[in-house]
Amino acid sequence: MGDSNRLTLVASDGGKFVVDKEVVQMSVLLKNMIEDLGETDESIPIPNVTSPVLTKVIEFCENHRTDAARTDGPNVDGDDARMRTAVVSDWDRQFFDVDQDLMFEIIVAANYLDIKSLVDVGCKVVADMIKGKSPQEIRDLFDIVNDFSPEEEAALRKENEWANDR
Amino acid sequence: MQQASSSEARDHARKAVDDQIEVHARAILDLKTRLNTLTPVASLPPELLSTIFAFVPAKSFTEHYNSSEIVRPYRVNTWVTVAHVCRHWRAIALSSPRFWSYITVTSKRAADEMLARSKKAPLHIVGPVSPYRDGPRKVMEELMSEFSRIHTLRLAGSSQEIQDLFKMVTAPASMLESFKLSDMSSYYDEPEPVILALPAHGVPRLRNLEIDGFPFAWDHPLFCSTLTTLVIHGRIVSVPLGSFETFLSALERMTNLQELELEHVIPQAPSGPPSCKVTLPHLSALRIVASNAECRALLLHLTLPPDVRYYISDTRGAQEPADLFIALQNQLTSSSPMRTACFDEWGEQVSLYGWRAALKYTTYPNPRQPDSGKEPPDLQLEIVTRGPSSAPLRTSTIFTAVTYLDCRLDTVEGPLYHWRWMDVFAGMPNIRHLSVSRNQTTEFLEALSHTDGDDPLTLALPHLEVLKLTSVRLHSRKYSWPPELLDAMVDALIKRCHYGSPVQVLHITSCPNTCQKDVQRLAEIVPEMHWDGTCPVDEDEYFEESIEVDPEEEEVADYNFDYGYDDDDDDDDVGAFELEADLGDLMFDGDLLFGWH
Repeated sequence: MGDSNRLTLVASDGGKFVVDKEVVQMSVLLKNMIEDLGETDESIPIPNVTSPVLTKVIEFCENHRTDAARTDGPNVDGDDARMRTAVVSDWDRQFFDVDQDLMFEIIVAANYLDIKSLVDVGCKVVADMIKGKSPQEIRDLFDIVNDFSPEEEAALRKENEWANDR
Repeated sequence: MQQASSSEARDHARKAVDDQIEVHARAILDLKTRLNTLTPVASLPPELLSTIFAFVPAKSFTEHYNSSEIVRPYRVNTWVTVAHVCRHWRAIALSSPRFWSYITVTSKRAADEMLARSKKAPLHIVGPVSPYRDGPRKVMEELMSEFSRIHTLRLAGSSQEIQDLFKMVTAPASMLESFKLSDMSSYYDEPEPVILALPAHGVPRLRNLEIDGFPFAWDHPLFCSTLTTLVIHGRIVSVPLGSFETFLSALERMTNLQELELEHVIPQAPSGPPSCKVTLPHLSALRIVASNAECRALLLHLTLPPDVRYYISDTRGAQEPADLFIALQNQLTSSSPMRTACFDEWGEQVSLYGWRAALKYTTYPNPRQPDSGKEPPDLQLEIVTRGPSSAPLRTSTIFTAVTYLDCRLDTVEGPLYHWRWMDVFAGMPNIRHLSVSRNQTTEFLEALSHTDGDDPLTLALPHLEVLKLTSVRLHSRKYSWPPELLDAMVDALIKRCHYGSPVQVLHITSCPNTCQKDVQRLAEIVPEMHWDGTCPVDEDEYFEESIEVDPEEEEVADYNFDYGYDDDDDDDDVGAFELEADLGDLMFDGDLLFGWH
């Protein structure tokens, strides 16, 4: 019988990670799985997440393990509260200072594992990257090509002309 | 006839080619669309991209809007560019109502467009209500018809205009969570009270309320139990909002408050001890800008959790802040004591910062940049007086447990001519690490080695281990300047040795007129010494004179005496001798380290 406070996660490439249950429970998906499994030594497979991504996800959860207690208080739930608390800490920013492939894989993994705080931080970091940039700057940033025809672009500019009103 | 048919044939041929070009052009665009699916960002599912998009205007919206920006917003709607990046992003943006729900009122067509695109999403609205700008006011009136889905509302205008606007509201405020009102009238105009008629059923979800410049009666139903953040900025010449009792009753209703900020709005309290106390069990931050007496009165009437962060600015400090210190320390008795402190000055203002955590100086925040991402202070006390006295620190228990003190005070020039280091040290007996920046008088050094008579048990700062001096002028070059500090400093350090509490580590950084000879004198007394080797000003005559002296000849002769603070004098002297020999090689290249390692 192993340590009842820890469990093993298995990444899609077979990598094994022994982590505290408390940390893992930031994931709603894993929390529900642990509750369903009860006391067990079985490893939990995470088929959609590779080892490098899972390493980062665990790093985030370990760093934010006490956040839930800190944000407890009246009426803190809801999408709009998430939008309002738009502060991304220095640590979070550093955490997402990785190549774009890994950054988006982390966000997708966080979404799959249902870790709201990681999804939010990731989305805010990407929103920060977008904010204040022109369409072409955004394209350059994310390696996107312009697939509008000249006519479509003209129509688009006309359609959103109101945005320039002062 | 033949000509006509040849022309038709050519047109036909051209059209066929044009059609083919169009087919290929579409094919190229389709290929580009496919190419976009192969980018890293394309791995995001639509719902995540939609969430990211919603954060873009939300971030702009949550950034600080002052009332002038509400009146004439200039950074609005730039986020629409997101919908112009590519077809996929456009489709996602158009199908994300939240993306269009942040409305900064500019024109009717913009508001109409966003109202339509936001579908039924909660609205966030910033807008002016000015009698001088008819357009935005009419748009605001139109937007108020959507009151039942307004989540955030920030209005700037005159009292009358805002009241008129609210008379049009018929829908319940069922979504309103955040409400800010800014007075747009001239700062010098007499502000008029706002008598705001709330919609039926009040504001059941209101959490954040900010009122800037308007007098508001404390018994107004906006001050309700659901509030978690209340920010009220009055004017320095404030209009009474009600009695102190009414003010306390309002606070009593708002038991869910987490952040409370009151600037020039605390009514005058009756004299005498507090008749009742209001408990705010969830409060985490209290910010008061008021007179000394008003700050004190509020503190005396509150019961707060132990981990509250305090910002208190005594703006009219005609009196000694001693009473304020007492009221504050009564609040702090149940909380963890301050372990780290920083005293700073800014013009006529002295700022006392405290942290409950024991911080290292390397992670020290810049108190002037609270958003620098460093640990914000748990206590920030701003005292503005004409010559603040340090006397309250002598008896106060607020900083008794401080082990690290960073003082950025110039007690030679500036407003601190009543500042007495003996008071500071008496109130902070547990300091182990003392960092002092800016110029000091000899009083600092007298205080550093102060005893009552010859009793060693009464030595100031008995636990002091590390002393860091930055930009402290150790030598003066003119008689009109402050007196020489170096000799007094040597005396103070020797006295501490004699009384059994030697300074173990001394840092000398950017101290004007400091030379090798001075450092060597100090290194004889302090086991570990760090000098950055810089001599920032006055490096002409004095410095030239000093470097004419050969340290290897001078030092041993002048300073080879027993200070009596340990038994290893022989070893020490050897260490000092080796130090002199090394100095030539180490000449001011970064941080010089002296001592026995």
